Amino acid sequence: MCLAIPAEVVAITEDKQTATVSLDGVRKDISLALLTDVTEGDFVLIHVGYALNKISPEEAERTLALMAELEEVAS
Amino acid sequence: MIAEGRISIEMGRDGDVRLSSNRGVDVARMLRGRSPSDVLDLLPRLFSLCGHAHVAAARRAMFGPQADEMCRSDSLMVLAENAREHLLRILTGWRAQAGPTALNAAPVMSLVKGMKAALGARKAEREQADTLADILEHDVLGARAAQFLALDNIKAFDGWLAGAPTPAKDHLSGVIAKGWASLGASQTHYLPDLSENLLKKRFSDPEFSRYPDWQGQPHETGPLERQSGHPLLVALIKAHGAGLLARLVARLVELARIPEQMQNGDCLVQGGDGLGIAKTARGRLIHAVTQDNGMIAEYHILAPTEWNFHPEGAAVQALRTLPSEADLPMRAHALIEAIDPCVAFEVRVV
Repeated sequence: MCLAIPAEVVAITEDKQTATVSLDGVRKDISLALLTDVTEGDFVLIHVGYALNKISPEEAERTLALMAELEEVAS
Repeated sequence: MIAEGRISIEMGRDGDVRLSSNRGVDVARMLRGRSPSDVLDLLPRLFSLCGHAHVAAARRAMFGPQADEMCRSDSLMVLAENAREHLLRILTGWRAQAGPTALNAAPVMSLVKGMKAALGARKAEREQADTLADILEHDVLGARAAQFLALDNIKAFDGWLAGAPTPAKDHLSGVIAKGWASLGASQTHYLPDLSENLLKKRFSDPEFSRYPDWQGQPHETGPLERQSGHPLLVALIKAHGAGLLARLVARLVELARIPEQMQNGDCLVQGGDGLGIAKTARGRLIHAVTQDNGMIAEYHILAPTEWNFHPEGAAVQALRTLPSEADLPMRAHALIEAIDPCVAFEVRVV
């Protein structure tokens, strides 16, 4: 299944093309080519290296909780 | 750690190709014991990429004919989602190789939201179809969708390719110039219309939703399967086989058809009585459900990637045709991206 995972933007490069996101404490660089107006502290949905949309922190939290539940069911 | 899932492909010097998939967790398992309305609430949050296709398939599977009245709007949302997914492949894959001529991402990323806001108002829905047609004309096809769809032979295709440049056309020209038009051409088996009764029975095998076959054979689903009867594809497949060029053009043919499908507003979700089938950008998405006293007893989801990236499926068959040359990884990447696994992948030459 292709899931898009919420992550918090912790840093953005000067050219605004790349962001560092934090996913469960693991840092990862992703492309911002598909989005405008992303700032540090925003939550974005990431999929195969791209940020797809901005989402609210509440939405991100709900989705992450759901995904954690999923992991539990699977294990 | 939440995993997006990944496909690993090992290409042996002896020409063998081994594919293994770690496509994350089995979402369907957590739907057991929930109510149908819970399921409709959960699916789009988990599958934010093709959430509308999941909702459409789930609604059909859980509510049967009662889902009819939602079918028009579900279908419009699936079409908008498909258009965005196809355009994203072009934006992130084709354009990057064709050079920096940017295809503007914002209108593409707004397609789904725009259609959602338009639902129910026929005029606004038609405007969304027009918006998509404009994106296609200006940024992708360099022609009206109807003009592109009228191309029915190689000469007409070459003429179109030589006309007003777009990043998509540059990409196709690049593929042809590299001699990659027939890259990966192999005998592929298109997924036929599936008997609903037989399909439901197949889900009692827990392996079916991970390694699906039909009549003992892996099958391909997606743009090439759906559009292979279009005259231009018939001509291209005759000239170059069902290879890279045919796969890329099938995506364009499919995209070009979406504005008119949106205008028609037909019900495109199939199934009923425990089964829902939506046509997503990557192929058929199938939900199979059994209920007990209004709650979910069994839930199965079969996604198109499981057909196309089956260990003996279309992607592997195509990769097995590649000669063991220095640029093998590049050729493999181009093919895999054209078949489009929807998850990250890695190719190792061993």
